[in-house]
Amino acid sequence: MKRKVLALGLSVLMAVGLMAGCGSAASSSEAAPAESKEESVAESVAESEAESEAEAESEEVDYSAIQIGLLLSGSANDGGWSQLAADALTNAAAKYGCTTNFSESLQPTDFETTMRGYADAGYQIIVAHGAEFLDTSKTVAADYPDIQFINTSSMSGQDPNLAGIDLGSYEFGFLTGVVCGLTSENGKIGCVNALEGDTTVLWGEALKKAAAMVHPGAEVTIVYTGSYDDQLKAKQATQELINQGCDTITENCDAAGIGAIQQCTESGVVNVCAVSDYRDQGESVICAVVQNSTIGIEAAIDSAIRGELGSGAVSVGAAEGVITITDFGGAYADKLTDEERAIIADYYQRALDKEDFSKL
Amino acid sequence: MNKNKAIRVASPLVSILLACLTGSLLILAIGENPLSAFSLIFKGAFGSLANFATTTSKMTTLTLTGLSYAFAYRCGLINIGAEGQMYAGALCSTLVVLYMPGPAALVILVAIVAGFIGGGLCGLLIGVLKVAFGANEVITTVMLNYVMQYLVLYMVAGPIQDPNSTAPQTMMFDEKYWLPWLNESAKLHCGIILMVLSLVFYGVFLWKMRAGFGMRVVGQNNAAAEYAGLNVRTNRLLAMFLAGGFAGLAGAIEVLGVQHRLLKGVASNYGFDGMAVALLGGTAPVGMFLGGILIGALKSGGNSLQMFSKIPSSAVDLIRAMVIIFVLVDVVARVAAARNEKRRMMIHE
Repeated sequence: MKRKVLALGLSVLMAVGLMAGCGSAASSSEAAPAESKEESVAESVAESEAESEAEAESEEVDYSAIQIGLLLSGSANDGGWSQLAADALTNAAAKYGCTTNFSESLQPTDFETTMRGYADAGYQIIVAHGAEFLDTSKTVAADYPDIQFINTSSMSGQDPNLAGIDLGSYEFGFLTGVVCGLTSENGKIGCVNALEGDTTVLWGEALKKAAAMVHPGAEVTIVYTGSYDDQLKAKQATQELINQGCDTITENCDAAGIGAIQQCTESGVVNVCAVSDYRDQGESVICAVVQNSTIGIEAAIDSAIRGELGSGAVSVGAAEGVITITDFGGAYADKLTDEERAIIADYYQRALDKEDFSKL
Repeated sequence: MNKNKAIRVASPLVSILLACLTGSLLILAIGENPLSAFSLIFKGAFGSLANFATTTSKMTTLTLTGLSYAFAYRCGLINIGAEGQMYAGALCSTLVVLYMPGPAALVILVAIVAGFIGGGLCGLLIGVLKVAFGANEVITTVMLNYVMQYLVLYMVAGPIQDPNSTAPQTMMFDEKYWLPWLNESAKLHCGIILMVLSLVFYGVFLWKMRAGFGMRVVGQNNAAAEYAGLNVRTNRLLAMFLAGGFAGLAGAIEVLGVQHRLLKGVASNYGFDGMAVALLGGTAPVGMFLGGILIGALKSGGNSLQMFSKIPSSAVDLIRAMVIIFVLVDVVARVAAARNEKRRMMIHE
């Protein structure tokens, strides 16, 4: 009997332990500029905000019947990429009083079932957060033409009801490249990515271009680990890059990036954190180039609620507050001179002024 | 029903009840209503034809991976490798669909057989390592899980990746290569028939055939089996081949009937959840069928729970984990009780 009681007690303890371990971390990156058809959500939001305010004054619109679903492949409390999207959903619920729900830590095998689940339950807006959902979004959106689908990591949408959100991937990659290029002494920069999606590829291209511009001869080696949550893999990939002589590492792989930061800290190599602000994860982080997807998703949801989103790709960036660069710090803050910091500030200002870096 | 049989039937039910009670406490701790939560799980699992089909689909895969564990278990082996064997089966089936010419029905048939053989060979490898070198099958199966997982990742992110997609997956199979639907609108495929046939085979083979009897004898006491003239090595090899084969069949059904493509993470923990199914069902055919329904319902209902409530899906994972823990606790307690009884009798004598 005593043994059974002990076993039961241990079971409960294990359960509590498991629960405590449920929290984790994640982050990542996204899209870039594109064709002329693209529309800036922020612009349209700004334009129609005034209109909707005026409308709101004359008649109170009740949005409580609207239901928004969000699909996440990471944990909603990851402190990064997934959490930013969950925050956007929370903000939408507060703003419109609508019903919102999310599904987190989804496995690829459950993407379609979950997306169809929201659609069948009558949700009018379904947001899929990440490039990994794009194929599923296209398949499911075609079967539910009256529902607005939004995919946050897509350079393109699909008529009539799938919109892709470009979260300033090119601009984001370019600014990351500027910081990496100026930080690196030997011009060997390593980058740990998760998946080779259109937005991450664009991000990488911009990174290479900017690094070479500010540090002539700089070489960027990009490794794809295939995982947004496997920190060990990211750590091993980082070690490989360091072994190849890279003296500056950046990463674009959500929560897995924490592994890259840890390896940089252990190996004494500079890390330029991208996507999420993970400066607290290691003293190797000199700064974070942050991609705040909350703003982009909120804008897209605003547009969708007004029934103006439809299909195609929409674009937001530094000017809309999506891309920011944090203060410099950590163990290697002195690697950047005042002059180099001024160069970074200058490029960031140009991004705020909506300069198209792809044309440089 | 004698007392022992009654205990065997009641103990998984008690385990489930205890898991639900503990789960309720957790849900209360989160600040939600346990009754609403379980109601959502039930609706998510059986509330509509589509939900029922999802549950059936998950149950099919889970029961087959449970069968994989059970086959090895009955021969005295612990097969933790259903996950890897499922990957192997899924990969082999996919290769057949992608590259084999011929009528669709033939391709589907060959793909199913290839899935079984792929998984079976994976299991056989473990068996060979066991009988030839005495390698611990728990370690080798776990290691092989990683090998197969990364092999599939390499394939879907490289040689057989969909050229029109950036995700690690193959192109969608042509519709003619999908498993036939039992109900197309609900997405209910005919894999469940294969699963039921597999359970029937399992029951008949082990309890009605001489080869199965030999396998069970080896599982209960291999020294006695050897003394009785049974070939322990052959039985173990056969058991591991069949165990791997059923996990491989699960992989084949998953790609042909559910995903319609091979993708990263296709096994999605089914291999490990299958162990829970086998343990819950006491490795008996009917028990595993029922266990498959329960775990399948928890899996599909769990998705609904987090979709339509503020309860994280990890709460359902915890309930599922606790079912396993309570079942294991019960098994351990029964084994300990049996040993105590034996010791007591020896002392008495």
